[in-house]
Amino acid sequence: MSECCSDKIKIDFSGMKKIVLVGNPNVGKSVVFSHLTGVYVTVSNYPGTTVELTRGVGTIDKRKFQIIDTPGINSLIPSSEDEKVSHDILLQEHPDLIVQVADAKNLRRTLLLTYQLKAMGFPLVLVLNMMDEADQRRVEIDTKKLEEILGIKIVTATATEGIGISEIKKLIKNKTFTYVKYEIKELQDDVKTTKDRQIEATRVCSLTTKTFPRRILFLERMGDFTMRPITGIPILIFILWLMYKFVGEMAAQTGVSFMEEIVFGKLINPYAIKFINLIIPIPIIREFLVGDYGIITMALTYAIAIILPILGAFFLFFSILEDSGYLPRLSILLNRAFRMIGLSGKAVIPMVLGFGCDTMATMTTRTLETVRERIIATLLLALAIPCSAQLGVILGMISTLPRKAVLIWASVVMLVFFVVGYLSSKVISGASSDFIMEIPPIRMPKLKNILVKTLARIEWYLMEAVPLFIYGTMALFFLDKFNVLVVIEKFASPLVVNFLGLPSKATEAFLVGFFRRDYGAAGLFDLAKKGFMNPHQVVVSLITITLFVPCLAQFLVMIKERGYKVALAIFLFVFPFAFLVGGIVNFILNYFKVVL
Amino acid sequence: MQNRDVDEVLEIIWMQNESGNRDLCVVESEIKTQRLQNVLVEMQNAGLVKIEGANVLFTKEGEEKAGALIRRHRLAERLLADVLEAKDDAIEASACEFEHVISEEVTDAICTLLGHPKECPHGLKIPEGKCCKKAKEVIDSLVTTLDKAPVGENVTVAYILANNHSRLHKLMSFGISPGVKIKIHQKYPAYIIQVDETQIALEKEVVSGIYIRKN
Repeated sequence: MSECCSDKIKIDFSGMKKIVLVGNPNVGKSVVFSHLTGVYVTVSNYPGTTVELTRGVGTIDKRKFQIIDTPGINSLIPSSEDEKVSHDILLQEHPDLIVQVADAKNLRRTLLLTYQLKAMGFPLVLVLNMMDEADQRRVEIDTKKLEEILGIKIVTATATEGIGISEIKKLIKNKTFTYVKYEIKELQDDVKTTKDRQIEATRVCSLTTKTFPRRILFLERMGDFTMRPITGIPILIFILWLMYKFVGEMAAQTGVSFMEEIVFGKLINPYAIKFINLIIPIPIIREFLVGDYGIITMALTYAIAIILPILGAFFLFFSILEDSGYLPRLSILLNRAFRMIGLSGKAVIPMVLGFGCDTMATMTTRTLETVRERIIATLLLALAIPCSAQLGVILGMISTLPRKAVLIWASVVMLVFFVVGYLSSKVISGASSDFIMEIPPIRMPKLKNILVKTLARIEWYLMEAVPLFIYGTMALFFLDKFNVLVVIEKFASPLVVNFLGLPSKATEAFLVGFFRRDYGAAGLFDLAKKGFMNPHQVVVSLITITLFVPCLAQFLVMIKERGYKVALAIFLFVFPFAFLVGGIVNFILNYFKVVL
Repeated sequence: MQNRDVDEVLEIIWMQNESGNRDLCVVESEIKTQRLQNVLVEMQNAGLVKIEGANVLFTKEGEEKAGALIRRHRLAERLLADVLEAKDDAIEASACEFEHVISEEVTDAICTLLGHPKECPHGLKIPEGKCCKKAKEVIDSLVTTLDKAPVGENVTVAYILANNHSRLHKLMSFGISPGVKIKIHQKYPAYIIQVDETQIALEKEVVSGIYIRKN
């Protein structure tokens, strides 16, 4: 998830020198960026956290610079869309200085990129980041010698601790004063040149680095355990169980009850109703604010009381997972399964990110290499991956039901994921790509980053999602006022009541589900809590809403990333399919007289 | 004691040994002339053979000498037969001359040239020389694919099959290129290899295109 809203903030960069941060994936470019600009961009421990450019202003000695954060690249010959973003900016924007951020313990790979950047003629400085990890692994680098050989300025840093940042600033300042105009040369990528660069990098690396024998670090051992099936699968199950306990039970039950029954039910809503009745004489406006479909009593109650506690807990848990470096390791365990649905282990990260936010995850599908893989991944995200908000509400509802209900819901959704994935891999033509993926080291998550990231995501939710809740509620309010709601409910009755076997009020949940699926889920949550649905109905409604149409924001991103045709085709497939699966489950549960 | 005579007798004993005969009487009956009979006695005194009961046995020195002689003879046969395509009787006559004159280096060179043959044209075993042993070691450590390397062993990339350009490029940008030392970290469910301080997950299809040398 990269909730960067950079393109929404319009800053006038004219007259500022342009500094571009470039480097291999997962070397800490975004950390350096945050330090230079004071703008928080999502930092995680897996390659491909940043898939877009982020621009910010960095002030060094009262001089303003435009700083640009880029997606990581291994080579200036791009092999995926996110790499292309970085490649293109270098060619189009004519940066005044490139700051190559590098993983100090992997100097050879760093140099491959350095040579490419140099060959293209860019003014360049090198930041050897993650010096702490190089020290731990007993890798020593003679930076003076390296500076001499490469002919560029080098600083060492441990950006997560803020070490070396002032040196980077100094370097930028000095370098851009002595700036001369340059021309970008075309990069030769024939086999011979590439080979020569490899040989040169290896030679220089052996001249300037020393590695000493060392013991295997504890975290490295942990990392190995997560990748081997025998230990990896139990660890995965344990993590899922932990998440269920923390998000599904602690936050969704205790947290939500507290917020909904006490904070909103006893404090905010009664007082808001009293207060508004007191100051607003017009009944319709009163109802608009605090009625059955009122902005405070419905939209805000749902958004803040039901979803926020669950979401906050989920974001917190998820951030820890992201920063630990666990997610790429999951790709190894799941690679074979993903091969069956036309994807590779590389698609595991976008899928898992979908559990955070499907909209952002759809953007992350850029890291996949072929169009076919991107389409399949986009489809599965739209269909079978519930986002955190939705998942949280679902967990909250389902955890009050017997285990069997959880099992039915989870297996149906998983079955749909694999069956639809398998079929689409047969239908959608195109190539699949090799599974070649870097596995970052397991790292101890930094509390500060976890908190900042979680807060940034909550802020994003409040700013972006809550307005949609309000629009949805407004739509319901007017539909209700003009008696259209009753008509729609009647109209949808054969589908909702007969086919799915749900109360007709559930139609409302599906209606707001068009705005956001989690909002729809929250509506169901409310119905279940008030006793309008039995366990059987809860399971059917949950399966339907899980598979239900992507939210508005996700749909827009789908259009942006995959084009109108593909986005619309996916939408038109998902919508009836969700009801179909719900209906089938309803039928099977009835037929076999399953008691929940 | 004529050298050629000694060689002759050594050869006879070797060949008798080969067919399982160590009996002094049999060996003596094979040694046709009286002159050679005397040579056998001289060889005994020189410490090349010893007689134990009814059996003639090589000493260590004698066995080495005889082995080298047979090796030269049979390699010469192979050379004449395979490369020069000489006739059978010419082969025998020339081989008998060759065995006395060629040096060890030339023998090994011929052996290498012929690809370290195991048998002479008559199907008899050619004793191994130093060059054959070396070749065997080389074959063992010769290039295999990375998926066959044992977990945890350091190996060097020899070359990467270049039939897939984008794959080659990607591997190279991760620092996997000829001459680089790598290690297989894990093989299942996906291959994980370690290059410097980078761990990379790969599938078998990719791994089996990477050829390596053991160190």
